[in-house]
Amino acid sequence: MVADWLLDTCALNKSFGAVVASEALSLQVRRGEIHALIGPNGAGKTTVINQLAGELLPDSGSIHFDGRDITSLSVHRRARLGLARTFQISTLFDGLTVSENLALAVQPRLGHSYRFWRRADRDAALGAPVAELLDRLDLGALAGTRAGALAHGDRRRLELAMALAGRPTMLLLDEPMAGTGPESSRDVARLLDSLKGHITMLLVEHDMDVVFSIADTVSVMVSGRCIASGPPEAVRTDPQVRRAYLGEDD
Amino acid sequence: MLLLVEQVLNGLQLGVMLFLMAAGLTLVFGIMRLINLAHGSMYMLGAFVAATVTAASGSFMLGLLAAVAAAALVGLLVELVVLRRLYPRDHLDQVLATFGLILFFNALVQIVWGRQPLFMDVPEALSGSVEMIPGVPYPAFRLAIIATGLTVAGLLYLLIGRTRLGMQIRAAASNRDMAEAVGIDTRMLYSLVFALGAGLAGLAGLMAAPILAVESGMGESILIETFVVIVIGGLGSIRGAFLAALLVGLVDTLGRAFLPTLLRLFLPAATADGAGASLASMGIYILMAAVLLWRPRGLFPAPA
Amino acid sequence: MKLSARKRLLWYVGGALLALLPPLAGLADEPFMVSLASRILIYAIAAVSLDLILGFGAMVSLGHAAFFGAGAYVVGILAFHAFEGVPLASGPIPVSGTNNALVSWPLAVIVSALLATVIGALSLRTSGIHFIMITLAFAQMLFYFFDSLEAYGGDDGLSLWSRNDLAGLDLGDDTTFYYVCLGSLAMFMLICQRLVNSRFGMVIRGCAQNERRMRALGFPTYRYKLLCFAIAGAGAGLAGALIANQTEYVSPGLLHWTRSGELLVMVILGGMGTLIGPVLGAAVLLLGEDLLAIFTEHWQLYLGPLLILVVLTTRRGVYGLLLGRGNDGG
Ligand SMILES: Nc1ncnc2c1ncn2[C@@H]1O[C@H](COP(=O)(O)OP(=O)(O)OP(=O)(O)O)[C@@H](O)[C@H]1O
Ligand SMILES: [Mg+2]
Repeated sequence: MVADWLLDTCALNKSFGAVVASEALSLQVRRGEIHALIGPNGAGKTTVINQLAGELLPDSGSIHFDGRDITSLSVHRRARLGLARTFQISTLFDGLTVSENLALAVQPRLGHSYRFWRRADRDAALGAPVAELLDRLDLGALAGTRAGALAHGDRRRLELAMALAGRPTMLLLDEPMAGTGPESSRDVARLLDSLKGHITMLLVEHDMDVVFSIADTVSVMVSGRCIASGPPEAVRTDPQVRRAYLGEDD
Repeated sequence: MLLLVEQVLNGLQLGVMLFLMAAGLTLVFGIMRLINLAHGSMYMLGAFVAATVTAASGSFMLGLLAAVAAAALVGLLVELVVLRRLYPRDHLDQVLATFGLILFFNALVQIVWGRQPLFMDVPEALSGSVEMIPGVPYPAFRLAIIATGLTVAGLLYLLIGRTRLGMQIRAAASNRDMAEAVGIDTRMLYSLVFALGAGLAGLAGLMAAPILAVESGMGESILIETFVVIVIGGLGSIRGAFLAALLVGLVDTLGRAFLPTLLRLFLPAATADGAGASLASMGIYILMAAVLLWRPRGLFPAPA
Repeated sequence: MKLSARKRLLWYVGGALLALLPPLAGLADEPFMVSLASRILIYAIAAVSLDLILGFGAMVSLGHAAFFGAGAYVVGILAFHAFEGVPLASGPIPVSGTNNALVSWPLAVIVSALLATVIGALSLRTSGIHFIMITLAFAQMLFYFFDSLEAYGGDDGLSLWSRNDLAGLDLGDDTTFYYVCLGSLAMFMLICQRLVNSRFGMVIRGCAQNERRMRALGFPTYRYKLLCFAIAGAGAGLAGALIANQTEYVSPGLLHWTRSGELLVMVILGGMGTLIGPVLGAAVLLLGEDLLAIFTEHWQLYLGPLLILVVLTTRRGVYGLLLGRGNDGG
């Protein structure tokens, strides 16, 4: 039964001074599903992602990933275990080109990077997966553009492409389509949907249409607490959720 | 025992001088986020002006006033012309540009005063020694340094804690944008803070003038020691700078005085003297590295 | 295309100039030029090594001269023991000094690299201004260590009896020594050139731009940065070994913090984040020093404001200017 959960967090607590960002937060994500995490601004969703990714250590509680206790593992170790993330605010290598960004993102999967002599830009082991990613996220035309010069929507796609580059088993997605136009938003949703089953996802998103169309499970956070969790239909009709969140948002 | 008292006093004296230097440097970093390597140049200017004016006029008080005023004025000028443009820059730019200022001032001083070091006499009234504790005569001038330093520390405490200007300084240190939003004229404030810091550095230079050789480049070693102080104390914190200055002053002085003797207990005399001298001169840097590794933001970090 | 043509031209012209410098200096009857040029080449090695961490790795170290000085002292101390005939260490396996460059130069490189590993391991736990200050503190520690090391001259430093022996070459001859320096610089730049374009180099540039993302991608950034810091230390150690030979003298002054400041100045003046930049910076600074010194003994009066101007107006340095407008050096 327990093995059913790819990600299992138990009673996470995290405060910043007087602000309680996570309170007795338990969250289970089934292998293969898209699990949406929704909640109003400031509910503590990003803080959860940061704790799962290892950038923040919880004050108490535990995190298990793929049957392993990763509560106090460093960020890069978690990433190497197959737990990748995207950032709410695009976090790219602005001075490097799109291909170079992706080439870097591919490297960890290929083992260590203590390779000092061969030119990385002529390295087929990097070139092939980069080309594939460029193609998949429709970034091919921008391959030689500096990331810092990209338009917002393209930045979001590159952000996602970099997370995919490591072929993760699970993706932590912090508002991957925020601020992109409706069209590109739909493309991203379609992409995520196509990955369903191959990659487990925890998706933080404000766009309810997207959430309810692609998520298998929805958890609702308010002020650091998880107030409901279940299939989209059940959550949508949950009176507590309607009161606390959906009602005021719609 | 008597030697210990004397060395503790020496340590205090070094400590308060370091504090006079550190106060300006740490305020400037805390508020403007500026690393100013040229702070030692204000100290050097203070020493040169003090030595020159005192010699010419015969009055130490006049020398004092001139030193502080000259340092503050030059500081103000430097802020207006150069440093102001560096506030938004990264630390590397700041290090380089203020390094350039050091080169400039060292050369300038050589042109104006020549390459030969100047020497300044201790003022007549303070040239004797005082026997505060029977059997421990201590130079009156050094006591005066300690007293002045402590007084300045007290005044700074009042200035920052009790006055309107101090409130503005604290506001700007904790949140620059907010300070501007509530209508504090930050440009004016920065210039003022800078001049204040430079004036204090000039004061430290004046105090050093009768003790050390007054020469081009004299500001550099104390500059580095001052950085040690403000890093140990926690960047931006005046209180931290004060305590760290005393700590550094004492560690340095007592280390030099007693480490060789202490090591003789375990090592052959010649080795002990060598190792002791070596360790003592490295002491404050070891202290700083240790503090940083233990508490990366210093002992008394200013609230972020 | 135009840019790469200009770059190639720069390489060819620069290379030819450097290769032909001793005969040209002989023709111009300015033999002292050769030894000045050697000095420039040596500082260029140190500056390029600093640029590895500064320009490519965004680690602002104000203590790089420590590794430069340490390399010089390794050569100096070994030579001292060789000439005095006093063993360096007695005990079960006595270690004697040596004047053989094939032993002492690699040793200088290794010692500097190890030192950089230790100092880097501690310093890289901090960042920003604290990193600047802690590297400065370690360099000062070493400065005072050598300053009070009476066995090797203390603050007076240590004079070498002669330059090292290098596989039968007469390093005492300035022209020979010049070519050895040139070869060393060429070799080091080739290594760096491969390095910054390799996977490792990309990782370092990635850390410089966005360390947080690097970690999220799965890179143990601390280790990569530390290795880069150690490699830079090794390069500075090589430069130190050469400078000890050039001047036949080592002193704590080589480790002084103003020396670290000068190395920073060379990198910025020439063009940070490029490999040629630091070489040009070393040339401009040392030549400028020499030329200005002809006209005025107070050359720093002009250098200081010039430096401020460079910092305030452009970050691209001399190399950026040579490449023309609109390109950012790299
Ligand atoms: N590093 C921090 N220091 C102090 N407070 C923080 C920090 N990070 C987050 N907080 C606070 O914790 C609470 C939760 O923030 P979080 O960013 O996790 O919310 P969120 O649900 O992601 O919001 P949004 O939808 O706007 O992205 C907020 O009140 C925020 O101000
Ligand atoms: Mg968020």
